[in-house]
Formats: sequence, C-alpha cells, structure tokens
Amino acid sequence: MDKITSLRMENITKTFPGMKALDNVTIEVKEGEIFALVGENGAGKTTLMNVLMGLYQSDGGCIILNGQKVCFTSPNDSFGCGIGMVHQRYMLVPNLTVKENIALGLKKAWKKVKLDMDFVVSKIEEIGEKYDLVVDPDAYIWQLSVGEQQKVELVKTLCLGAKFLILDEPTSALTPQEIDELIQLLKTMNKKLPMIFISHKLKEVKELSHKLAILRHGKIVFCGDTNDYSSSDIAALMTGREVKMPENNEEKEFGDYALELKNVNVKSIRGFLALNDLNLKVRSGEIMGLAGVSGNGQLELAQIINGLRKIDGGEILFLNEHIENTSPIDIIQKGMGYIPEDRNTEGIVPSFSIKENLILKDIENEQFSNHTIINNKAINDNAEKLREQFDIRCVNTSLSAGALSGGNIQKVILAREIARKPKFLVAVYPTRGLDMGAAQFIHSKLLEMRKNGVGILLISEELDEIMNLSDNIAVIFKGHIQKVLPAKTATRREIGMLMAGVNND
Amino acid sequence: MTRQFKILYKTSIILIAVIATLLIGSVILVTIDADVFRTYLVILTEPLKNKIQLTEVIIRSIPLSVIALGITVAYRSGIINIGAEGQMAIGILTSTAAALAFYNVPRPLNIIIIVVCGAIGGGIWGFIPGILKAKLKVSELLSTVMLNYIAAQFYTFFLRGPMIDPAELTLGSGTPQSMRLEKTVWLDRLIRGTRLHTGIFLVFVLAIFIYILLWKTSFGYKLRAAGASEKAAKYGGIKVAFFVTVSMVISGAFAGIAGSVEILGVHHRAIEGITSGYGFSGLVVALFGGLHPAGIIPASFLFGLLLVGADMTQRIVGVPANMVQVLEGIIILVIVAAQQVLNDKYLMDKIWKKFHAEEAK
Repeated sequence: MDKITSLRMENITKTFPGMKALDNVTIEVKEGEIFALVGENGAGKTTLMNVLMGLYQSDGGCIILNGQKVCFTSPNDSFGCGIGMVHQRYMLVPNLTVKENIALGLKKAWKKVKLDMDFVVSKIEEIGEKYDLVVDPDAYIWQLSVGEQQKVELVKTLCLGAKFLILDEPTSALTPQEIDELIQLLKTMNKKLPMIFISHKLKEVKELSHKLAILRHGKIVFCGDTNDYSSSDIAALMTGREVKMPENNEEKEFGDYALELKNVNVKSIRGFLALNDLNLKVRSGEIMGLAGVSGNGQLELAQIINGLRKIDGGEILFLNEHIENTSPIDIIQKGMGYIPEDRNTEGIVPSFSIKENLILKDIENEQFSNHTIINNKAINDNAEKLREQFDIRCVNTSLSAGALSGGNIQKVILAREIARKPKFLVAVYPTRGLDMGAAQFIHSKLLEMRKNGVGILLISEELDEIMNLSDNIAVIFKGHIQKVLPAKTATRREIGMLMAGVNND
Repeated sequence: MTRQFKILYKTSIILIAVIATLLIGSVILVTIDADVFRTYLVILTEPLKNKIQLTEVIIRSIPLSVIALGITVAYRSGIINIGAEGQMAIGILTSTAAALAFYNVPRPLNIIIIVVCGAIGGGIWGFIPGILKAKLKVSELLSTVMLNYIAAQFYTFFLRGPMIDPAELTLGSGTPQSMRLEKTVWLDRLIRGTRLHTGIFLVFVLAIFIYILLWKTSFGYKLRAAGASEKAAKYGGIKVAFFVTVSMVISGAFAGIAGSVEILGVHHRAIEGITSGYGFSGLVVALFGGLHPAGIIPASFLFGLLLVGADMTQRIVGVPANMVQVLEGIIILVIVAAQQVLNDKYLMDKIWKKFHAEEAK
C-alpha cells in the first residue's frame, strides 16, 4: 500500500465490564485531511484509537482502509498497514541519541552483527526532506527540549513507515511558542499524509483540523466541518452544556501576608542557580498567578515552599513562621496545601485505593487512626463524602487510584487538599491535560477557596488560566521574579515580554 | 468482574505456575537419568506419609515462614532483602550468647530474653543495609548479599573461637559448635517422639502481628505508601528514609527470631549449617505467598515439604538433594514470570470476557 486515501471506522462498538465505552461510532478520514477527535476525558477517544491500533478488538463494526475491509488483531497489523501513533507520553530513551532511538524500531537497519547507522541517518534525512521535519541525528534525547523530542517522535513514527498519523494530545506538554510551531509543522505535513488529531484544546482544533467528531459517553454526538462551528459551540456539544470558564472578577479585601519569600537562592543539581534572589509575597485571600516558560524555576519554587527541597540562602515565612529547610510534615501541619505537578505518581500513591489516597496527609489524624489502629469506617465515610462533593467518578472508592482518568485523579488530590482546610495552597499546573469540564470545576473550586480567605500561588503554563483567575501576576524568568503586575491591567503582550526575559524597568 | 472470578483466576495462574515448574524440572531430571514421576511422587507425598516426616516438614516451615514475614515487611516498604541468611546467622549468635550468659533466670523470662536478643542481633544486621539505603541510596541488593558473607565468616569465627564448647577443646575433637543450652530454655515438644516444638505458635502470633501492623495501623499505611510510591509518600509528609530503615530492622529481627527459635526448638546449640539456605528460601516463600501472611503460611509448608522430600529422594530414588535447590531456582523464575501475569490487568480482563461470554450463552 503506497498511500492511505481513506480510512473508515464503521459502527464500532466496544463494551467493558459495566460500561459501553464505544457505541456505534463511525468516523471517516480522507486524504489530505486532519480529522480532530474531541471529547471530555473518558468519552472514549483513547479506546477508539486503541481499536484502530489493534490494541483492543471491537465487539462490533469494522475498519475499512482504502475501500477494503481490514482486521487488526495486534499493533503490528495496523502498523503494517501504515498507521502510526504518536503517544501523549513520548516513547524515547533519554540516554540514546536520536538516530539510535530511531534505529530501535527500524528493522531494516538491523544487520547481523551491527546496526546500519548510515541507513538510519539517510532515512532520517529522507523523511526530513519530505516533510520539512529537521532533527539532529546525533543529539541525545535528554539534551532536547520537549518540543524537539516531539519532532523526534514524529520522525521516528514516519521512519518506521507510517502513512497515517494519530496524534494523541500532542500539545499537552508544550509551551505556547512550541505549540504554534507544531501546528505549522503539522499543517505542512498534512499535505502528504492524513491525520487524526486528539485534543480537547478547542483553539488548536479550530486552527488545525478540517473535520471533527465529538465523542460524549462513547457516542458520536456531532460530526462535521470544523469551520462551520465556533469554539463555544464545540465546547457546548462536548460537555452537553454551556461551558463558561469562571473568572475572578469579585472585588475583595486581602488579609495579611500569608507567604513571604525573601532573597531565596536554590542551586540546581547541575550547579547553576535554579532560584536566584527570588522575592515574592502573597496575602491571604489573594490568588497570585506565576507565569513563565516552563523550566524557569517554577517547580523548585513549589518544592521549597513545601519542604521537599532545601534552600541555599534566604528565608521563607508562612504565616510569620520560618519554614525554610523544615520537613514536609511540619509544613503540612501548619496548614499548607499543595497540588503537585506530577499528579500520577506524586499527588497520589497509584497502587493505593482512592479512599486511602484521600487521607494520605491525615493518616495520623485522630479521626482516621488515632496514631495507631486505622479506623476504616471513618476512612470510608470520608471517601464517600468527598466523592460526592467533588464528583469523583469511580465505581467505588476501594479501586486503585492509579486506574482513574487524569481529571478524576486531580479531583482526588483537590478533594484531599481542600478537605484539610488549608491556610494556603500551592497549585502547580492544576488543569494540565484536563478537559474543559474538569478544568472548569477546578477553577471554580480555586475561586471558592479565595473567597474563603485562602491565599493561592497558582503556577501555570496557560496564560488564559492565570489571567482568568489571578489577582496579581508574577512573572518568573531564570529563577527570578521579573515583575508583579495587577491582573486587571496586565496585557498578554506585556507578560509575554517579561516571560522572555525583557524587562523595561 | 466478580470477586470469585478474581480468586479463581489467581489460583489457576498459580496452579499453572506449579505445573510449569514441574515440567521444567522434569527436563533436568531426565538429563540425570532419574525416574521423573517417582522423584516428584517421593518429594510431594512421601513426607506426608508418616507422623515423623510430617512434623519434620512443619519444623522446616517454621523458620521459613518467620523469615518470609520479615521479608514481606521490607518488600512492602520497597526493599528486597536478600540478607535474611546473614541476619539469621547473627541472630543465632546473639541468642546463643544470651542463653549461655543468663542461665539462672526463670524459664519464661529467659526464653523471652533469648528471643529478643536474637531479634536485636538480626535487627542490627538489617539496620546496616537499611540506613545505607535510606541515607546514601546504597542498593540493598549489594549490601545485603555482602553482609551475608560477613555474617557467615563471623559465625564460623565465633563457633570455632570464642564460643566453642569447652568440652570440644578438652576432648580435642574441635567440632565447631557452642555449648549445649540449659534444658530449661528448650522449647517444649508438642508430640512425643517427634521434634515438633512450640515455636509453631509463634508463627501464628507473628503472622497476625504482621497483618495488623501492615494493613490495620497508620504505621503500616505509611510504610506501604513509602514502598508503593516514594515521591507521593514524601509529598504526603511521610519520612520515607525512616520507614525504609525501620522496615529493614523489622525484617532482620524476624530472621534473627527465626534463628533463635531454631536453636531453642531444634538444635539446642549453635552448630554450623543451621541457616542452610533458609534466608534465600524465605524470600521465595514470601514471593510465593504473595507477600501476605495468609499466603506465606501455606507457602512455607510447601517449601518445607520440598526440603524434607529432597532428603528422601536421595535415599529412596537416588536423586541428589541438591536437585531440589535446582527446583527452587526454577520456582523463583516461574514466580517472577507468574507475578507479571498476575499483575497484567488487561489479560485478566480479556479472560474474564471470554469466561463471561461463555456463561452468557
């Protein structure tokens, strides 16, 4: 098969125990098209793609490729037909070079005793020329930025013979500039190969796709030309209701300073200053948004506030008490809440049940254990209460938390942190990778906390999120706060300049 | 997915694993020209045929289960303790020393002192790799194995030097063994004419203790959290380094207790070769028992059976007892493979559906 001119999935049905994941789903992608698949978490996007990749067998329906019915029983089958997928998490080995990573899957280069690296390089160049996709074959993966790694992942998939691309949330880890670049790149590549683009960022869907299908609870609720509909139409169809992201527009008085960082210095593992003379003050009841390109010290900042990292100079005051270089448990007990960056392995213990995760910080609390024997009834009651209050969608709270979707994991974390009634909250990328419904829920909870007088440090890569929610915006660059702007009067342009390190004052 | 199905699925995988072990083992038995069927028959049934052999099986399963319980604690906190062999040896030394030192103490108190000293000795030997792991991130795989060698040399040194039975010196035979312990500290025999001792009750007490400790207390919760996800545990304010160290101390203490019970109940003195691979077999028992007390007790019985059966094959069918060690190695490989299958939720889901579809018809 030389080219994939049409791909049709017809009446696909797939049931899992207790639920219908896909119900009679039909989609069709033609040559030269980018087909967007949108829907909330758990709507069935990934299941549908797993059927196409041969990872799952559908219970009903068929796949028609170039007019011929095909049957995929394993990923090799679909790959043999030229369908390639770029996963949300990149499948690259960090301490190998680009060409070595590509050689891993390129069977033609596997000669008897050694790899035919010249062949691999020529293949990379060929793909680079064809799709305008240039990568340095000798660079190590760990040296590359996330955006470049994504390119490598694309080159790899194409080198292995993909003639049809599935992109699973390709922009979720990229900076705004990288996203723009990727969209341009995909547009040029699309002239030569059709794609399915999975996303719930509607702006990108609008910009990139020709057609789209919206999945909700395993059913196609809408399928048509992207251009005929506005973002808000699509959002409404996606969630089944009107979505309006909550905004911070309520005037209020702030309390005293809840968190103060004075001249904080932190050395990174490689020796340079991850935080450089950082000063920041946040009051009770204030949302301080921290804007910045990722990797400018945001994570280190969150870690030092929560006692997970030592500082090399300066001081941190939490409600007028010194907390620098104390232990996480001390800071937790003083009333600090923290939504960590990595929700899957840091925010929860994945193999523990949901109810166990909901008391991760409170196991020694009298209510749950009284320092020795665990009170299972209290833990169950607590879980049921929070499950209802925070709309955590699960069959029951005894299931392992790692099996939940990203949005639900975040709800578990948020439920735990809010139920502890913190005096301050550090929220790192709280809605990254979440759909609009879940993001909306989390935003409204954050605003509710603000109303109750909790100070919040909101660290995010999404300017919209920061501008919607914050009272003040601090911009971080190379571990230093460039400037603090009132959110009302700040402009995107001004913040963007500060993020890039330009400070006119 | 129903609960019954899950249990059925897991037991059948374990059964398949057992069958696979037997098949691979028979390949090796065939190569040494042994009668495969008879060998297995002897290993698995001969020890069960009379009272004495049966009690011997139970006697061997006592140290195995105690060690396996300790290894479970370490494993649940994220450490693979391969050092039980050395911890047990040190435990034997310290408890023997205690038994010889305090001979005028009332019996119950004396036994307690001896067992506690065994626990302390093993605990110290477990503490070393624990603290090294917690503070310096030294791989426990290396440190525990190396400490096994050190413990073995210590053991030999003490039995041949400072702790040797003075009678051996006067007689000039020089057998490396300690003095015999006072009869007052021997554990009671449960059945006349056999060596089965009251240490068996300790197994059940310790099994219940471990179950409650790990699954019913906040301490166990934090210990398991530290093992399941170090990052999340730290985030939750759990002092991971503390739990890593403490769990290794508990693990070592259990191996030490196994050693004391072995000398109080069976040998009545420290001799060479008491540990005889219990520490390693204990790890297999722990894994085979699913790292849970309820699984460890039957698993230790099975391995006790293998050990006794191995001795008998040598006598009855002429297959060397070392063959059973080969079998043990095979069992470890099969367990590791079976664990992968057991953890594969996708496969379980697939089989459930097939099963379910047939039921629906």
